[in-house]
Amino acid sequence: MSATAHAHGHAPAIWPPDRQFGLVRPAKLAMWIFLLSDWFSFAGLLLAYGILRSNSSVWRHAGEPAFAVPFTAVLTLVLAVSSVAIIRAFDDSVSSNRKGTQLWLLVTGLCGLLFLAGQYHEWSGLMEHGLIFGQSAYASTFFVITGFHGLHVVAGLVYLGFIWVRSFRGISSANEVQLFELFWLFVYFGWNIVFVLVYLIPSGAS
Amino acid sequence: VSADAQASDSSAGHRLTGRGTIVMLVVLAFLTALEVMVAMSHGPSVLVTLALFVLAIVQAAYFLLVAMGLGHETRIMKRWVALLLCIGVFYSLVLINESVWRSQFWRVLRGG
Repeated sequence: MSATAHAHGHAPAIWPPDRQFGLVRPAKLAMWIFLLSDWFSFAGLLLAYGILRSNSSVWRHAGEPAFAVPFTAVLTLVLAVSSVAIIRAFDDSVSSNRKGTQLWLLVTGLCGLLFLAGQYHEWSGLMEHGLIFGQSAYASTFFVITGFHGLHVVAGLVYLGFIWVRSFRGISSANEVQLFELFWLFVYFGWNIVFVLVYLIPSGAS
Repeated sequence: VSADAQASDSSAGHRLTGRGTIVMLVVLAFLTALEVMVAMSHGPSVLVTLALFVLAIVQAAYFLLVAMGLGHETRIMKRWVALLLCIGVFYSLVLINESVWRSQFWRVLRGG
């Protein structure tokens, strides 16, 4: 390449030094790439929801139950508390405070479990009141989108269990906790969008 | 990656301490409460929807920058993350609007 450049009379290209090169750890960069690809999965589902909803003259049909907004708002706060807990866990792991890390990871996990229990309660309540998957776009999009998010919470809890065991055995690092922290915070980030678009936008039904 | 590099990377990220996390929790709780109040208000549907969109974007941006620490990442990282997030939103909005216009067009055609 260089020989070719010289043969053609061009000087070899000298690129200016990239001051930002290497400042982000590859694992962290990979996690961000994963989260962004996951964001497109969420965006795809929300896009389908938007198209179905904007093209329907009646979104929630008579007889279909409305979502329990205050209850879901409390679940949102539970996830917010878990976000705070995981940030504290990372802070303690950087300070090499193992006990603190384990405690905050435990709080994060308990909040995640509480959120899932709340979702289960909400789903079963809605199904008892006649919201059946496949019955209408209103029902199907609700179950698919919240179910997809719920799968993220389940995956996060499995991931958290792995980190917690490693922390308990004294072999986890702050970087591992940081990667999990990013994933878990993304779970809240996604939920915030889902909460507004699926639960809060007026359905216009009686 | 050496241990030093790893340590510096961890500390270079966001490290919200006790007070910072409480402020964050209060902000998130306030924004969530505001969203619920707006949703339960009896205003015009279009205005309520618009206000909810704005609040969702504000909360998402705050969370990304403060909680997820994007505000402390490198410039190029911030730009790429923002660009890809915006592409998802923009593409969704374009396709939703396109489908609405298409359905309106067919309705007019059938009506005519």
